[in-house]
Amino acid sequence: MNKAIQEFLDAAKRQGASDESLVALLRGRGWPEDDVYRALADHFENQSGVRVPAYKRSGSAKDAFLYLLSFSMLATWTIGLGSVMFTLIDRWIQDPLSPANNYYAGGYYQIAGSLACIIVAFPIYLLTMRVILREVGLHPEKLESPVRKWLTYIALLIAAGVVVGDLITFLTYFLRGELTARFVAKTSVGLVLAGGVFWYYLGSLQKGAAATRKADE
Amino acid sequence: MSRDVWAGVAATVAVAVVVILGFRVLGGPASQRLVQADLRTVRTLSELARQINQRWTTGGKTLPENLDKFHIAVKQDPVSGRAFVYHAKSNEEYELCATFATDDRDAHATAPTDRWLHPKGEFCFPFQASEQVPFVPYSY
Repeated sequence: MNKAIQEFLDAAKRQGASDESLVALLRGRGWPEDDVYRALADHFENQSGVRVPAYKRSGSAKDAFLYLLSFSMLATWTIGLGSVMFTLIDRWIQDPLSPANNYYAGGYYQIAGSLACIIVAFPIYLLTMRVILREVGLHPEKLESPVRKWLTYIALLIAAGVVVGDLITFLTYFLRGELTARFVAKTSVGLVLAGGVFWYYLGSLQKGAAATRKADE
Repeated sequence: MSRDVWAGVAATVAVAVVVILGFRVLGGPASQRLVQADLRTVRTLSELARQINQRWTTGGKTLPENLDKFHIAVKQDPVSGRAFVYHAKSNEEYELCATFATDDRDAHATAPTDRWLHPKGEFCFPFQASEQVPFVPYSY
């Protein structure tokens, strides 16, 4: 069967039939599209003696793994970092009104948990980022991979949600009469953390866009 | 690439600073263990005080002369095994003393109303048999 279609293609090409008309013709006789294009490729391989280069999978599952891992680690260590800072601020700027003081006055529990988050997640984050950056350096086209773009934008969306939630919480405490100094300190810590994450990731998305523009020119 | 390196260095410095600040407050695992042990001591003391108060209420409004009739589990420090010291001051007032490994007055200065703050070393808490035993914080 394959042989028959090969012979037909060879004969038709000798008659001067265009590739498009051959595809249309074979499709009209019920040949599946994949088979038609495979036959055409075989035809040109026979004619030129050069093989059609094998398509390499773009590895989007691996990309998804790396990006999901790095973003979950990013979330873990940034939240840990913020949590340590907020507990320290509560200790440094003391407010006898603060309701949490009665039960968790020293903040040891929160600090221990948050430090553990940072100590475990931050090295893993750095490691995955290293792998991602090396991959992107080897294959700059990966900057444009949809997996990367989608996951980055989703991560930014979650980050924005967390920041907005934090700001609302701090503002609520402030409106309930918490010390202004505490409010300002916590808000600035939250904004600096979120600002850093946004600055870095929005920048690397733009880097992807710039790289493709350069490639197009 | 240099931007990535710069961001990585900035993040690492920030993380290092916060981790150091955090550990300066927290101390090492050994000192946290002492904090937990003191909390356990305080909790046992409060249970003993509660039982003394109960005995005072049901037993004719007199304080016991000593702790002989109390269970061993509440009479001594659960970690060090050292016996608590009991002083009856009057018909109603008494003291319970224990030895602490840490000073938590500074760490918990945010809660000056906490009746269980203690210095390092031996310390006595005053109690009133007619009053409720002060509430012990869940954890620090």
